[in-house]
Amino acid sequence: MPTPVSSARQCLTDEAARALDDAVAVARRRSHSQTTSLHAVSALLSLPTSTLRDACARARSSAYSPRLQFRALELCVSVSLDRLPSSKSKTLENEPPVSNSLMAAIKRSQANQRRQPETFHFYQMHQQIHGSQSSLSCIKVELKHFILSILDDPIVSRVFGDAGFRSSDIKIAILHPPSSVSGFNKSLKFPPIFLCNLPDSNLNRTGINFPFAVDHEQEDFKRIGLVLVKKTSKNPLLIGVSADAVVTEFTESLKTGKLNFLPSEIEGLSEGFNVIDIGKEIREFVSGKLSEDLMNLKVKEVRAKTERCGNCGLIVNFGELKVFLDGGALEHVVLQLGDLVRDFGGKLWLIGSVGSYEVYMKVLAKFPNLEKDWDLNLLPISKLKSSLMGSFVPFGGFFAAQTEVESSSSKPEESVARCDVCNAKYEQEVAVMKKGGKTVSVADQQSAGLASWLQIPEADSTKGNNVVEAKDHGGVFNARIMGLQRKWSDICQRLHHKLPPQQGTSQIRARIPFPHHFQPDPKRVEINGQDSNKESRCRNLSPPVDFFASTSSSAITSITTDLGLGTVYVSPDPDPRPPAPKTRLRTFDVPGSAKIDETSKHVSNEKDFKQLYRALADKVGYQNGSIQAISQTITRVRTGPGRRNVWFMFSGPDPVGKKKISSALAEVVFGSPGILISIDLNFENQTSHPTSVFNRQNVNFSDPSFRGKTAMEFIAEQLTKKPQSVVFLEHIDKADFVTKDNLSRAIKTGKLSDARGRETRITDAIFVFTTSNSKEENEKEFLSYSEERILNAKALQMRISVEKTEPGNSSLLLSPKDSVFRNPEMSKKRKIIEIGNFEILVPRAKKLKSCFDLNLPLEETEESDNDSVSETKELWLEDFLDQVDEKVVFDPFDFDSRAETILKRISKCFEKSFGRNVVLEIENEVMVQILASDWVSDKNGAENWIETVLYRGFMEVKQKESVDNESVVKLVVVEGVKIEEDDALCACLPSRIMMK
Amino acid sequence: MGPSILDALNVRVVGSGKKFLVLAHGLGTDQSVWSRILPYFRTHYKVILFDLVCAGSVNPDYFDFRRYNTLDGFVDDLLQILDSLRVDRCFYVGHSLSSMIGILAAIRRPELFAKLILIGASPRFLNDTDYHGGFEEAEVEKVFLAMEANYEAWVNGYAPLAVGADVPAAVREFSRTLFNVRPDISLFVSRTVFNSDLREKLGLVKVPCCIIQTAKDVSVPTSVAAYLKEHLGGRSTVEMMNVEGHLPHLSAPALLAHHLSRALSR
Repeated sequence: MPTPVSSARQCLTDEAARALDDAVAVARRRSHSQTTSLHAVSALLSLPTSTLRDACARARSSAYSPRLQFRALELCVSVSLDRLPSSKSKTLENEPPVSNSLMAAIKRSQANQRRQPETFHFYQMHQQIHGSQSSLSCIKVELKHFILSILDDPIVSRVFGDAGFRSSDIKIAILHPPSSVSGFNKSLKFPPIFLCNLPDSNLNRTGINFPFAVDHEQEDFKRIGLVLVKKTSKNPLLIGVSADAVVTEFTESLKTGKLNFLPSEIEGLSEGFNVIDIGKEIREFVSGKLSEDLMNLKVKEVRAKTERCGNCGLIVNFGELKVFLDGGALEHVVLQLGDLVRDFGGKLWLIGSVGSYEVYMKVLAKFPNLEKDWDLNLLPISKLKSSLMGSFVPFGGFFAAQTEVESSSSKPEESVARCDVCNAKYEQEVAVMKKGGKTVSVADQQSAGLASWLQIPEADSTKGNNVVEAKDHGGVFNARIMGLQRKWSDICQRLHHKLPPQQGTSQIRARIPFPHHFQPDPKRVEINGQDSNKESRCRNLSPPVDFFASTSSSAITSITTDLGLGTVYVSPDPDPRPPAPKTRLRTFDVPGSAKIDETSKHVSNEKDFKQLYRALADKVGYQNGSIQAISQTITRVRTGPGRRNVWFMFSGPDPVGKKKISSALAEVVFGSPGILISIDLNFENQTSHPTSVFNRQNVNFSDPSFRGKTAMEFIAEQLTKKPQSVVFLEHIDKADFVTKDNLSRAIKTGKLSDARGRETRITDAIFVFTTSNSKEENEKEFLSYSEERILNAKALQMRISVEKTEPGNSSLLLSPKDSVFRNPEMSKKRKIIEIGNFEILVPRAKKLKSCFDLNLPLEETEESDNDSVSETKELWLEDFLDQVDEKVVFDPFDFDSRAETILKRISKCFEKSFGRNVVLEIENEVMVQILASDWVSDKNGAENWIETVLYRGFMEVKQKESVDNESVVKLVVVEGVKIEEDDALCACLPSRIMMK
Repeated sequence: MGPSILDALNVRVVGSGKKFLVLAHGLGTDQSVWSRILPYFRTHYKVILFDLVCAGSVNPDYFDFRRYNTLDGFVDDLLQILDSLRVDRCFYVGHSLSSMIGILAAIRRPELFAKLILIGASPRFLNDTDYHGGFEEAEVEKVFLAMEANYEAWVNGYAPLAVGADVPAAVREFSRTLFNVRPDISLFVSRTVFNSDLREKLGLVKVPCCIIQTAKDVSVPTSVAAYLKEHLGGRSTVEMMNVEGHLPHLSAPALLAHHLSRALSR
């Protein structure tokens, strides 16, 4: 029995009713007897700015062009409409009534809207106040829900399917409006996905589908197990708010003999594990309840037990490390436990927990040797108490188990997990905020099974139970919480370089609904509602409605507010399984006047350019002028409004310095040197020479990870994975046209696009471009090592030999001043420089003739338009330069003074081993290689190498060969023998020098 | 032939440069194979794209089994296209089968070609005394049998082998175009290719050539590149690409584009 249009309209908000009217108009035009969901879809699509169209645009598969797919959709819809029977009677005046299926959809959306957590309370309350069961009828369906329900209609979803859309995708797109559109919904980042619009609703209908809770536990245990099998630092110290619980669970399961999560090495060894818990004793000892003797006795007992058990493991749980902070006289206990670890390695393990890294640092300050003596291994734990999940079982459908993989790319500002320290601080602040409130969370209703940190402070619970949190009050509170979250995320990102494993993952918010059994106290509500309403009016753009005034239901319009009750953090699983597992759940309960905490002392690096400058300068060690400019720019751009991506152009010489600074940036600003994406865009450099010192670090175009991709696609892919990265692109002036074009667009729009038109937003990356080093020769009086020469250095094996032959023409001679060995011939060809007790004879620098590469044929003369091409290149570069945030010109690296320092060191070593009578000849290639290594490596790398490896080489030669005044000690490279990559001491220098 | 050759073979001219650049695809692909390369050249050249008559995107009715019994039929097509477009001089990039066609076309009309760039080229696929083409006759017969027996299975096996299994997107793309070719045409052209021997004719090529060879190519051993360089009559260079696969335009587009632009500018 079709429903008259007017009665259907009553169930809809104005917006939705307009949509219905359009649908009715479509049906009338086609003289159909009823208005169906298809008509509604057709009407919704015909509007140029409709929600549905917009959602379709975002949900469409990228396989087809958008125009084509929309065309297909329109076609499919109209074909399906054509198939509908037209009414026989001419009822042009009458509106075609709403069909049963469409009416059912409206009913469904009413139900949905009521069930939805955002508005759930409102309807609940409404029902309470009116005491009526027919609350369903008074719900006005919003357009969004209307569309969602229509999409559920099988006919509609078939039509969409025919056009290549998946209606589930469209639903998600509707639920996740693009941020620009939903100014009002800003705080509502991830609306809940509930029963009916979960793509796979079967999964949730069962309501017990939280396998990852169990899984996750296993995961932690496995990690503990992995620590236990280690050779060193094998005693796990779990760190994190719930670490304590995990330790308890772990030891419990060991006691009950569950060992399947342990690695087989341990399992094989043991005839079961014994667990001794001394945490209680330590606690009592600290608080003075237990005498020192008894404590010693306990330790002795452990010792005896370990000795007794032949082939089994013993795990000593020392409990929460925090207690070690409080009591005195614990040194003895620490020492004793340390002894135990030392004596019974392989049989006895310690296990314990600590709430936060900060506490651990304090403990370490008190007992500096703790980590070593106890052989500890820090194991960050971030997990969700499974019992909490359990308590939500009835709301299985509400729980946002559906998480989006794309979330990190679509909302990257959300995607940063904080480290434990910052989490703890953040929680503190939230707690402060909570205490300021007057009401108490609803969460204590269900907190019985929660971990301690989830429970409400006792003081609060006295203030009354079961008080409803007024919903817009919640919004205000939520906004604050969000602010806090953002603040701490920011601080964490910049302050703590060492992020725990959850770094770089998506953090997913989900809203957790109130439980059913929750009974509001109307009186209380009213008080809260009133004082919060004022606040909410200015904040929420939704129509100000005093919904507590129990006057009439006519005032009720649709209100969407945010209840911000909880946050679920999802951290990555080590396995590439679908996202979800490790979750940590927080409950934020009661709003209150937030105190602005003093957090200014945690100024992050990027906020303060001096700090940034110091951190960078400390890492790099030179190029201070450039570093200053860079840090200033980063501070300016990243703390300013709007974008956070920064664009640099590094020009001038010293490519190594540029790279060093970039990787230092990655480390200082983003916390990890591993997130440097480095590509040399100069194609000529792609043909790398395997022996060269300098071609080792870059991603090469022929690299496997580059297969099938262009440089930009590669970068885009990396940035999707890790939005916070430093992208280091060398030789931008030599880049190909497509790359340049793409980069120009990226710098203007903040988006990278690839050949297929997919776009990747650049949100939080630092781009560094370098231009080719200018060829200005820096001719100095001394050794005049040009950058070019050093850049051609090879990483070769070296050899020391003792000979009596003439030194090579181009090699350096270190000759003791009072040596008899003087060859006037030789000194004629060389400059003489005195360093300490030695004279250095340097071959006179010859101007290198430009040599032709005979393999390359000469330019063809007919290529006349080459000039114009290079001209456009220049123009492009200039244009591009105008767009970057800062142009930094690097100073040349002072090879000569480095060479001097290095030669001084060598002469000292040489003097120590051979005395003052023998001449050392250093082949030019050797010198170049040492300089190159010095350039590439960190501070003093080459000097250390000289003092260890080279000195050892000298000594060995001296022992084995007879050296007299006539002979020359030669240090030469062995052509063609490449040194191994795993060379430990210094980059690109051999760890051992060969002898003849 | 009813419609003009430009329509029949889907000839397109794109780009805003002055000079003509012909991109000719190989067996089992069509002009879409150049889509990743095209952006690099469309600003500097007028790029001519077309499908070989054996491509899956061309109406199989145009494939005259007598006309395309030898490579000359293909050469006629190419020259006819260039003439219809009134091209007087062009750069020619040919892959695999098209590199053979290019060689033959350049012998016939040397004034038309400023330069030949041959990707994955081979004058002869079968081994001979003193020549290593990479295939034994018996092997090839086996391949033909496999193609005849189950074309789809052969495509699914051959595509990852030719492209490199580490680039799934490219393998998909190649499988698609390869599978679009009607099996009998594919087989027929393969036979034509394997039966042709251009070794005698290489010396007649006076146009400068650039041979682009990947480090590992299932169809063409690297020695062939050296053979080509040695025997081609004009000035020729070899560019080695440090990647694997017979279809670098799919598996390493950026790198190939660099090599091409370098080869073109020389």
